[in-house]
Amino acid sequence: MNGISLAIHIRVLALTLGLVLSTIMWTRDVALSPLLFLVFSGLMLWTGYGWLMETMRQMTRVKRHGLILGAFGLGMFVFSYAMVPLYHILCHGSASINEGSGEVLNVNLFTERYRGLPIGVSLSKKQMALSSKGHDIVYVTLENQSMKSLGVHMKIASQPKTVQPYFGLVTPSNIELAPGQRTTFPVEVKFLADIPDDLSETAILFLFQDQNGVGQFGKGDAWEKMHLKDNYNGVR
Amino acid sequence: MMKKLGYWLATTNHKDIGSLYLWFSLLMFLFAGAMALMIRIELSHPGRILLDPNFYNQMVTMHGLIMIFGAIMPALAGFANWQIPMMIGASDMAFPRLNNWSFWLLPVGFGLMGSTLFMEGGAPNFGWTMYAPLSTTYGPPSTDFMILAIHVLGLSSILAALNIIATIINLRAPGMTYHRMPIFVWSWLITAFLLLAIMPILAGTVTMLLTDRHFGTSFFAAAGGGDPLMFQHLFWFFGHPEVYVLVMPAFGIISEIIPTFSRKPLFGAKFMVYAIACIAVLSFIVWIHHMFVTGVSVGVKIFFMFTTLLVAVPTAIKVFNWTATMYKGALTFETPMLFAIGFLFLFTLGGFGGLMLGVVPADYQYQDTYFVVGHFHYAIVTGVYYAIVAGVYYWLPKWSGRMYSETLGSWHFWLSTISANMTFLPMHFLGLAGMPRRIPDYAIQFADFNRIVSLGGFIFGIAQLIFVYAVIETVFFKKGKKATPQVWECAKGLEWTLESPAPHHSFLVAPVVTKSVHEWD
Repeated sequence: MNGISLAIHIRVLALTLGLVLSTIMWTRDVALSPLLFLVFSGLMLWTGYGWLMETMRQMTRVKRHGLILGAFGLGMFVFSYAMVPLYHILCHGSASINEGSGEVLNVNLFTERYRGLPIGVSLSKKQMALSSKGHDIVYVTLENQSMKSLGVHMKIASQPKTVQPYFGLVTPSNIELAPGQRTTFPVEVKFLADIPDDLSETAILFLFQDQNGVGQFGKGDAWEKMHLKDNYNGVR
Repeated sequence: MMKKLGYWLATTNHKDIGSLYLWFSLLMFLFAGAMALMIRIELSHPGRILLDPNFYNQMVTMHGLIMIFGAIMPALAGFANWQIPMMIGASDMAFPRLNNWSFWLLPVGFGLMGSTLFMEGGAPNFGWTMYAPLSTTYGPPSTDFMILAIHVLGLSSILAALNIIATIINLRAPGMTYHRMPIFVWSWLITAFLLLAIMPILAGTVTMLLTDRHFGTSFFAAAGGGDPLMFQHLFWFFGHPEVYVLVMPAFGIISEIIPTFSRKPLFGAKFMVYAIACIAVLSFIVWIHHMFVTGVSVGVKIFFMFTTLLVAVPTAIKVFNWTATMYKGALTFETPMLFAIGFLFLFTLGGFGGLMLGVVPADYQYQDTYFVVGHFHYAIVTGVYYAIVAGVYYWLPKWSGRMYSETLGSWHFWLSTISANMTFLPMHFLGLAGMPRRIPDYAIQFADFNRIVSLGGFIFGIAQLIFVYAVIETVFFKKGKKATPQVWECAKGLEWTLESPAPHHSFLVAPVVTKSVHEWD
């Protein structure tokens, strides 16, 4: 016989309809609909297996091997994703990646000085919890540890960077510090949107750098600028 | 002209596709080799000479990616396409159309990869290892094109591997049992399984990179609950077996050449196969030796140190068997044999560097220095590349019907060997002295060795032009004398029963095999 048998076609059609209907019922919270969905899914898998076996019986040996090897390759692709929870279980002892409630966003706060800027930095808190459209204040203390005046520029980075547009931050743009001067200023952090279900934790980095732009963060010509400042002409 | 182009676009003949792979890889060798020379110009003297540091990083990244995915792998796939059907007595590959598609995906992938050089922000600049967050948060916009290119190239490799396995399993000539197969075919069978297992892992990993960059996932972002270190685990789970994907077909080529020019059957042929299989299995449980300084626990480090050192055992079996094959043989030193012997010495030297790096406390000292660069280039250039060149000289008369110039071949070998050692040996000393890798500038005390390295690199580059000339002279200008079907006095195997050049359609009637290529009268 050539082709797939009519019985399998009819079975697949009926099961597809059943799956679609049970999914709709599940979304409408109909009683027993999840069970129905599982039953249809199981039957679909069993039918799919039967279809695969029948197809393979009709194939030539070469094509059968091609199909098996292709399935193996696909399986390895799936395995790469299976390694994510495996990694968390084996290396961190927990498979859970996001443990948040989905309504509160934990914001971890970090500071960084770029290219050894001679200032001391401390934060009044290392973490804050924000609700949807909620806000909080963190106090940043800077101390000029050098013997000269410094113009400090504060930049903000978030991780993941895609959430940055959702943060509204009230910050000073430039801070002037006399030698040895210590100053504290507030930074208001506000999450402007509803917190997505899949986002429970994020981080904000306060990056401090010299105002004159030497070694600007992320600039491709940072090296050159650094060298030019030291009157570096390429020959030592 | 259009008809010819149409022919090459549509061809399903394994020899044509093999030639396409080989020419493409030669082009990529020259392209990525030019990048290596730019890197060496920059490093020939302390201070900035030619390249902007950001562009230097792009060159380092592209050199690595193109050499591995564009030059070495396609060259080995070219050998597989040309040789496997002829060696097992098949008329073609199992899936000829798929074979065509596998090849033509390559120029598409490299079009995408190469185009990143002309994009705003430049090409990817984070090294061929693509570590997150360098490739996620800080990656240039062109990173997405690189990811797409890797998908395309990965698909090409997966399809080629699938085709090779199906061919070897199904299309062997009557009497060609597994134990009678040539070592080259065995090496490719194992390599193809390895490829099929690891390329999808790379595809999955770079897909995660892509979704982290654009779709709000946090696989590698700590703030979202992910872990940047996981990228290194996933990458090296692919990356270390990938090194063996490059090396194992090279073992196969060398195992064909040494018996021919020693005029003796291969010593311990079955053990050669077992050793390759053993290396393939071990390759999956050594990846953390790339990550000894990332804070993994001591127990894990010790386990991976032992598995890494264990790889030396099957490798040593192979080196011993090649040496034993040559022992008391009637050796002659034609160019393929010169390169095979060069491989034997220099690959082993590279292997010793690997053993040093595999020892945890020593790795703390050597990691991220030029020692690693020196070790890797000994393994890949004087190892895999030498085997590829040896294979080209060995089978070129069969492919083209003409003998190449032995004089040019000898010049090529000696210039390459002297210059390769000038290039890669001092890198070990630079590394031991503390010169970090992937930097466009360095402290003054490294200047002398770097000058020698750059000089060696340029001589090596020029030496390869001799190879290009020798091949073009043989293939296009038919300069050499006409090759006999057997070509070499003691060449054994089905491919040597065919005319030289091998006819367009070979083994239309399957030959009957009665004994192994390793059983000589």
